[in-house]
Amino acid sequence: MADTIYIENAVRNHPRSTAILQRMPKARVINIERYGEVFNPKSQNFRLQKNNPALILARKHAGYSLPAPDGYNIGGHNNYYFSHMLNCVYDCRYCFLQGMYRSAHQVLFVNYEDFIADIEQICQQHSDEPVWFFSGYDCDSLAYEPITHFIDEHLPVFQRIDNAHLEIRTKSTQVRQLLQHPVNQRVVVAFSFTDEVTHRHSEHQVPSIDKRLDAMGKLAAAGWRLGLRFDPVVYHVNYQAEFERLLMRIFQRIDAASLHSVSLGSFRLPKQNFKTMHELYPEEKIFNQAFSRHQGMIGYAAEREQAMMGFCEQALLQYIPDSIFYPCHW
Amino acid sequence: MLICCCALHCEAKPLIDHYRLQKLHAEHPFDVYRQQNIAVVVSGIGALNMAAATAWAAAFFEPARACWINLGVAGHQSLAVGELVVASQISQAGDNHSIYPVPLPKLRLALKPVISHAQPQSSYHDDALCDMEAYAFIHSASRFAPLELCHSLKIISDNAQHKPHRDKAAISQLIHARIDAIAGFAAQLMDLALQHARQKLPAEQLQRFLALAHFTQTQQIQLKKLLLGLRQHDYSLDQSLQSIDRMVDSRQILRQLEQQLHRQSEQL
Repeated sequence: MADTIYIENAVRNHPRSTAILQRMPKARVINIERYGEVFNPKSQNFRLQKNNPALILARKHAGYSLPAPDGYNIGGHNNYYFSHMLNCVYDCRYCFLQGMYRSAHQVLFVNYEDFIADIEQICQQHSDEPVWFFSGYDCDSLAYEPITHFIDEHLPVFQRIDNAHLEIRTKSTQVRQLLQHPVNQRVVVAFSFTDEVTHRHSEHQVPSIDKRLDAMGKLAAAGWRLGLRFDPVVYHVNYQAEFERLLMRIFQRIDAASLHSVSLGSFRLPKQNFKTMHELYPEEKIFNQAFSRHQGMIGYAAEREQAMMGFCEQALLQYIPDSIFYPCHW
Repeated sequence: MLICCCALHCEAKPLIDHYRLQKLHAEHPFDVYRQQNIAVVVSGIGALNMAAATAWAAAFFEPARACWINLGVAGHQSLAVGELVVASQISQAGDNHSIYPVPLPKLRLALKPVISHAQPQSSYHDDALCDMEAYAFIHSASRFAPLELCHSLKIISDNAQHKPHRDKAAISQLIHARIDAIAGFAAQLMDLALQHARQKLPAEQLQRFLALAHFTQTQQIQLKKLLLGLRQHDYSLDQSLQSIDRMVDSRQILRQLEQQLHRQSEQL
C-alpha cells in the first residue's frame, strides 16, 4: 500500500478522494495542481520508484474510453478500453507499462462519474449492438479494489445498460467485492497467467498461480463468467512442458464450461517501450533473448513465434472449444 | 557517493564534523570537503551560487553514481525552530513550475513544500518553507541524477515568533542537534544510489573488453549492453573474456558475446 498520496487540488474535496484518504489514514498527503507535474517529469527512474510508488489522486479531463487497438477483442465488434488507473501494483518484468510511463506512481482518476457518463453515451451510439469495454489495459482492474471501490461503483452501471459488456482483467485475488454483487452475464473476469517458471522469474508481488485459481474457483462457483489470458507467453527452454503443466493445473480446478474466452499471445512490445525497459533492466533475461523487429514491434523471430503459438494453441485446444479461443496475432 | 550542497559554512559544519570530512586543498571554485564517498560543497548564498556549485560538483565528482542532498536552514510560519523538514515540493517564488522530490520509503520526517526566494523574506507562507537555494539545487541536481536521488533537507531557523538571524554558531547548533536524523536519511538515500549504480557498467570492466579490438562508437554501445546482460547472469565477465581471448575482430567478439547472452537468457 502506498505511503504517500499526491492529490490534485481540484479533487481534494471530491467525495471519492475523501473516502480514499479515510481508507489510508497513515499516508502522507502532498497537494499538487496537476498529476502530470509528478507523473511526467523526465528525470525519474521507474525502477527506483517501483520500490515505493505513491498514489496520485487526479481528475481525468477527456478521453475516458478509447477505441481498443485492432485485434484487441474477445468476439465483439465495438471494443473500447478505459483506464481509471495508470500503472499497476504488481511488478511484472514483461509489462509494457514500464516502458510507457516515466513514473511508477499509480494514478487513480477519481471522477468515475465522467467515465460512467462516457460509457453510457458510447452504448447509446451503438444501441443495437453489444459494446465491449476493457478495464485492465493500463492497470490491474482488481488489485487496488479495497482502496478504489472501482467494482462497487461500475458493476451497477454495466447491470443497468443492456448492451454494455465488460472485461475485468486481473492477476489479483481481490474478488470479495465482486462476490457481493449479483452475477452479470455480460461481465467477464479474465485472469492472466504465465507458466510457473515465468511467474517466479518475472511476476514480482503477483499472487501465486494457486491463489489465483482459488479466486477463479470462487467466482465460477458463484456463476461468474471467466476468461483466461495467456499473454504474453515468454520463451524459455522449458516453456512447452511448463505451459502444459500450467494448463493441467488450471483445468483440474476450473471447468471449461465456465469460460467465456481464452486468449493467447507471445511476448512482444513496441520498439520504443522495449528499448526503455531494456535500459531500465539491462540484466533481465527476458529482454536479452534473440528478438527480431517487425512493423515497429520487437518480438521473437517468426519461426520461434509461430512454433510457440502453434504449440500453445494445440495444447489449449485439448481443453477448450475453438469457439472461445482468441489468438493475438501481430 | 553522497554529494551535499550547503549555502553556508555554518550549515556544512555539522556534516563536516559528523563524517570527519577533510577540506580539499587544491584550488577549486567552491570549498569542498570530502572523505571517501561523502562530499560537501559550500556554494555561497543565493540561487546562482547554488546552481553553479551543483553543476560544478556534478562535473568534478562521478555523477552517474551520486545521490544529492541540499542541507540548509529555512523559515516557516509556525513550525518550531530546530525542526527537520524534507522538501516535498520545491518551487521558485513567482514561478508556477514545481519539482517534486520522491519521498523515501518509511520516512518519519515531516514533509513540506519549499518556496525559494531571490531575497531574504520577512513574511511567511501559510504552509511552505521559505529559503533561497532549494529550487536552484533541485533543478540543477536532477539533471545529473534521477529525482529519486535528489533531496532538500531544511532545518527551521525562524518563524513568526523567532525572527531570522545570521548567528552562525546558532545555525550550526540547530543542524547539529538533528545530525543523526540527517545521517539516517543520507544512509537510506545512499543505499538507493547503490541500487541505481548497479544498473551501470563500471568503466574498468568495459575497458578490459575495449582493449581487445577496435570498436566503433555504435559497437561500444552494443558491447556495453551485452556486458550488462552477461554480468548479471552470474556468468562472470572473466569467463566471457576468456571465451573471446584470441579474437581480434570487434564484430566477431560482439557476435560471440551475443550468442553467449542469448543462450544464458533462455534459461529462466
